[in-house]
Amino acid sequence: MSKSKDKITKTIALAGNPNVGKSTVFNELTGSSQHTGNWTGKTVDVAKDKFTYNFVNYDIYDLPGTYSLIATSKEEKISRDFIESKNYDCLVCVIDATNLERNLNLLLQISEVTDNIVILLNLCDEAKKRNIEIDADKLSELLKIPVVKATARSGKGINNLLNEIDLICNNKKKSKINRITYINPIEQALKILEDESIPRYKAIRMLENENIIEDEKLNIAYKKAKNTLKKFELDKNKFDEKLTSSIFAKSRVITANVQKKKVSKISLRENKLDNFLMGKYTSIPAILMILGVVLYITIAGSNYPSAYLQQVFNDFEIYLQKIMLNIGFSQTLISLLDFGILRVLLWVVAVMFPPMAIFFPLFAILEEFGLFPRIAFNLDSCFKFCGACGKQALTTCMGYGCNAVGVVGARIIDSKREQKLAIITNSLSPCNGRFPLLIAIISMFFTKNIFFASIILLSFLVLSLVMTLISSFCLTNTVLKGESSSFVLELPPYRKPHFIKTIWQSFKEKVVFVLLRAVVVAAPAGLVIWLLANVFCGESSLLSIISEFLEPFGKLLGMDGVILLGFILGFPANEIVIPIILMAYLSTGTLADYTSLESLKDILVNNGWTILTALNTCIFSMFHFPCSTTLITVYKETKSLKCTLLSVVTPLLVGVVLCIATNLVFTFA
Amino acid sequence: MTLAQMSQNEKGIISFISNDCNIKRRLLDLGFVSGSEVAFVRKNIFGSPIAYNIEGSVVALRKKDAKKVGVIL
Repeated sequence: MSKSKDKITKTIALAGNPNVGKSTVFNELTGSSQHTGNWTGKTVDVAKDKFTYNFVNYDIYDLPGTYSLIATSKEEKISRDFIESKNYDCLVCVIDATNLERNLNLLLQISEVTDNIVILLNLCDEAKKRNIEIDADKLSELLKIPVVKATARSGKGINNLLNEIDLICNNKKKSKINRITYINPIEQALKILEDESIPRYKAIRMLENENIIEDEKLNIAYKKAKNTLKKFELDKNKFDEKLTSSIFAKSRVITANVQKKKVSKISLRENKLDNFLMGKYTSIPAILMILGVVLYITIAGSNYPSAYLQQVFNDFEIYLQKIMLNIGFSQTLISLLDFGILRVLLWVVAVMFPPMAIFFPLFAILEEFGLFPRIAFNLDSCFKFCGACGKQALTTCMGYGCNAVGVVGARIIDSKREQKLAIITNSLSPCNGRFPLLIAIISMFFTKNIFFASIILLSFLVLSLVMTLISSFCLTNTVLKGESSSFVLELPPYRKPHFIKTIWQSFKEKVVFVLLRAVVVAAPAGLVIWLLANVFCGESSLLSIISEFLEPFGKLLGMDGVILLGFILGFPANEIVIPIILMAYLSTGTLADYTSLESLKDILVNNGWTILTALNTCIFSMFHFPCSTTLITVYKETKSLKCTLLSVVTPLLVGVVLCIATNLVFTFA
Repeated sequence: MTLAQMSQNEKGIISFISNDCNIKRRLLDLGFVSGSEVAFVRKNIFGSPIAYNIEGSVVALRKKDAKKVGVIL
């Protein structure tokens, strides 16, 4: 029970199998916007928030999904420990109505631990579509646990849930502890420990593993119980098997009693879609096509707002300059504020923001739809060949959104070695912050045609995937030796995305995120560039000294010193690389009008950019070191300096090798 | 026979999971317990992974793991 000082604060937790909508319920209850998706293992950490209902304050925890309390992975252990700690007043067990039997497996285990449970039968709309009928009253009667039917995505049933939570938390209602009857030898062994007043679920945990017990009397009982198991040849493996099959047997009986199922058209339709997305000949083209369409919409959609924003910001700047002049600011101060801080900031918003604001929501829709696990299914053989886990395809996909998220997401990979592979190679997939750079350069230097531009961008993505595989292969055969191990991949049913909600939510997140980051990172970076350009050391500015120092390296990579400096200063956030480069060029040369992409191109061309420079800047932006946020995340996740270092060296090496190669080809061809 | 030997449109009942299967625990939790109904769903072009319908959900295993699970048609 909660022992908080504040008596009216109650604690509740959401538990359940992976991908049953726990985070959606969490969001509905608290009004927060936890990221939701359609695949197993999306929530890898405990989220916490609070809300008030009926004059009672509630702390609510969203636990990572788990299949059973006999935990195997790190995040499953988090859930199990939380559930068994009993530090809550009410546990909401979220159950997928389309998959009752398997979900009951966990519920039955939980109901051995606590009697403060509510069942939230979620995804009832999906179940209905699939012609699955569940008699909630009967289920409640059989289990002696309150059952609330819900469709959390549209908020249905949430009020009933709140009501039940209120009843349980305030002791107006109790459910009864459920006992599963196991086969005889297990029951005998459990009885011995239960007689020593050990709760049943703890006794099971004790029997599962070899334990050393301090208490002498208890130790005797424990040995006796273990011997009982031994007599019937129930070693750990057999014990696990018998335990699970007893639970499933009970789930099966309950399911048969409460569920009616008919064949539905939906599963036939889904099957057709699966045949297309995972079919022999269609899978790869289909996925490339979907990605291509997303990229096309991103490029086409961001052209106009980007140009518009640049125009508006340009006018704004001129206006602001006038004001500052009127106030009586000195020329230097105006130059510092405007050309230094403000311009980089506005460029980040104008050039980087529109593609991000379009790509990210589209990507979220694909995620919600359930595409990513299918990609993982298609690509597993490639990852296996490279010694990696098929789920790395999932983390790679997440990396296209944000590398730091991809790195944290690697927790879904059970094997430590394969998890490290996924973490180290994640920044090889260009994140949302790098897409705008690619798009801007492609449309400036390669093609104006949106269709061809999306094809080029798509090939960059494929290149990044190929490099991810090659790097994984090289790492597997050098520093991270080992063989590709086993894994289980769930292919969830497709879920119709909530277009407006998803788009709005991810847009909102991105707006706040980009604007904040722009202020936090771009402004000081602009200041640094301005200072470098205006502080002179002898004849030349610091900026030209530094970029001249970097020049030979830049030239070797088919770029120049300023571009390298841009990448180095862009370490805190990749979004600012292009604006920084432009600022650096502008501060040394004449000021140009920059109201269109065309004028930006002129600045670059005037500073010696060729097709090769453009190509290599693209390549280098995809493959250099991860941004600071990602790097910190890598260290947090691996707690290993070696891995952190590798996550810098690996992409950098790929970028350097590719850039030198293209440079050589261009020089000699 | 094992899961790996199943082919299109075949259904069966799980009979055992071999002890040297290193994801045995996970498979048990997903419903691969003796007595459960299992159906072949699809194979990847390269023959692995293979997807099965188990307890109402679709789960894909690599071929070498599918070989560790016994099934009776």
